[in-house]
Amino acid sequence: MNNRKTSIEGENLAVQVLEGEGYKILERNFRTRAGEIDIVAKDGRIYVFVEVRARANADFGHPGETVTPAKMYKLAGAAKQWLAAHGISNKPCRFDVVTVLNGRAQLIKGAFDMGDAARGAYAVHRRRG
Amino acid sequence: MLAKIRSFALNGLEGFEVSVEVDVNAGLPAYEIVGMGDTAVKESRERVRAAIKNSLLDYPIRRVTVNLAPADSKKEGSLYDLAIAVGILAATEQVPKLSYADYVIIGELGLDGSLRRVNGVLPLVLSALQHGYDKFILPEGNAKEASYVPGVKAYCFERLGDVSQFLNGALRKDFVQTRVFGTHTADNKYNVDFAEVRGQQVARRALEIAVAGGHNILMIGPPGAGKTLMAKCVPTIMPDMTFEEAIEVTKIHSIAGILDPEKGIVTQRPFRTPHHTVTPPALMGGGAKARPGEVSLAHNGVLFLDEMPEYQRRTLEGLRQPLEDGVVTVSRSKQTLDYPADFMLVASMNPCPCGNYGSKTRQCRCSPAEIHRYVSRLSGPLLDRIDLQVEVDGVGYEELRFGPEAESSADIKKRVEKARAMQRARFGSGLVTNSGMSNAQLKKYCSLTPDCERILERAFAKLNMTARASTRVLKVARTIADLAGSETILAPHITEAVQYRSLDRKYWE
Repeated sequence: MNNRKTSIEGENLAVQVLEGEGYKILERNFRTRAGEIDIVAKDGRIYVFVEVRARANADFGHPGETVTPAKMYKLAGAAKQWLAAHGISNKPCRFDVVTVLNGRAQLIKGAFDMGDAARGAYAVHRRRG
Repeated sequence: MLAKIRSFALNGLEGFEVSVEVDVNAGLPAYEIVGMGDTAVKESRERVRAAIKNSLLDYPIRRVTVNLAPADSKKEGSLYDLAIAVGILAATEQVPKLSYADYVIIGELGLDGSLRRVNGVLPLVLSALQHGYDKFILPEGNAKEASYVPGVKAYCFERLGDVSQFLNGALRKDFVQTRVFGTHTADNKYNVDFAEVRGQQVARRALEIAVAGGHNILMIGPPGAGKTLMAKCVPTIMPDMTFEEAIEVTKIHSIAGILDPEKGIVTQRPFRTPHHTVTPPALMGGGAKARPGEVSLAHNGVLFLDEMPEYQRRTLEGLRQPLEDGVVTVSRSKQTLDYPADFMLVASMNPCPCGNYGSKTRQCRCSPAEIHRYVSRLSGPLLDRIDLQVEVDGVGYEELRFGPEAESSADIKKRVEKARAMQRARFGSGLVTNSGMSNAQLKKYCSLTPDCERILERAFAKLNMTARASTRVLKVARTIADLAGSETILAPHITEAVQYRSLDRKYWE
């Protein structure tokens, strides 16, 4: 039982899966004040921000269910910063999620959009005050 | 995968088709429901998910989008739970595609996968039938209600798991047998009877006339004289409801959620007694959802207003439209609905604040001004619409304890039915009772002999009647003649009818 280990192994597995799908990995663990992005990649000409959700078992629900609107909002904020830091604008972007459960990874392309993320704004700002 | 399930929604008493579209696709696990649902519809998410899991079926860990079409009309309540659940099962191929295509699916789910009864199933089923759908999947708790509609094939279940097996062909089930409507069932017994009412010959007679002709009646008398008991007896002498009448009443009661699921249909004429603190929306119908009020719940039955002057004046004035038209129009900001409200008004009141004015046995301590103020809480226009007014006095000890057993409700009912049969023969279909006669019909059926004309003329002058009051007298006279089996109105009939208007003068002049 080691959550940190599960998480790192999950991210490594996710990278394998993405590369198998033909993604080009640009950056891993991009951290900002707004939040963290596990993997930034490029699928063809589309920039993809990937959140990896790894769970050893489904006792507390499927890993995909843990991506709440608040989390989406944080990812979106970090993605904006990443794009700004790299001077990228007006390019197609997408949010993917990779779920890892019992060592099996599943890629969800276009898991959510900015509209879904906007619903998390209230929860995030209430907590931050 | 997409699945479309057919369901129905209600707008007043009319139903409209709702298509429950369920799309399950890749994406983060989520449950979105669109289509102007209220909170109960939105909360279906938790019930549907738990019910599917607890029925040992698979709830998809994918994105579930539910649309209730047409998307621009409001949907209320929990009745879409089952349709949504079946939609999810169909979209995830747990029930075969199109196995559900023939059915209208309605029902609420419990977290354990059980099916709960919902309100308004009878009007929903009737309008679905009008739209050409005759097969239904319903909760077992609504089985009786649906079984009274001829031509309906209602398949009723207790659990979501059974519905799934049924659609998979693994469970055979027959539709509920249609029941034949009968009013002579064991549960069609009233717990009061006119045989229990001692004395009160005048009031008994007046009530019999009122019921025979569908007239409204006001009883005036001291407290404890028996006004309430007699009012409760009124439904026992009314003719049995026809199937059509029973369906009308059941529709309204079903929407209001006061239908007994064990019976499934209302067989007794309603007897509604709203308390005198009742608000106008509670009486007429209203609220945010424009629910039917007491006047509609009393449709085809009796609305009893005990201690009428105690009601708020604007509440009473609201009665004028339903009394005149037999329907009530409920207007809310978002919608206007018509509910049927064809009831017989039975009202009672004390003659004065202390209640003893005019009593032979007790002393009244009220001043004339007090009495006047009390009775004038009833407006003239409202009184005009009440055809019969009768005084009820207390009964003496001898008569109460040792008086002879009075005539039973069943015997009175026979006379009432005979008088109603004469009216049906006269008016044909449509109008059923004398109280609803138009002026033209009044002229045709209430012609008076010269000496009757003289009686009415004298009464008109002496009692200072309004034109409306005099036509009411004529209608009551027609009913009295019908009870006597007479085709023409004779002198005794008109004299008796005039007598039921004479209290106007005693109390309201």
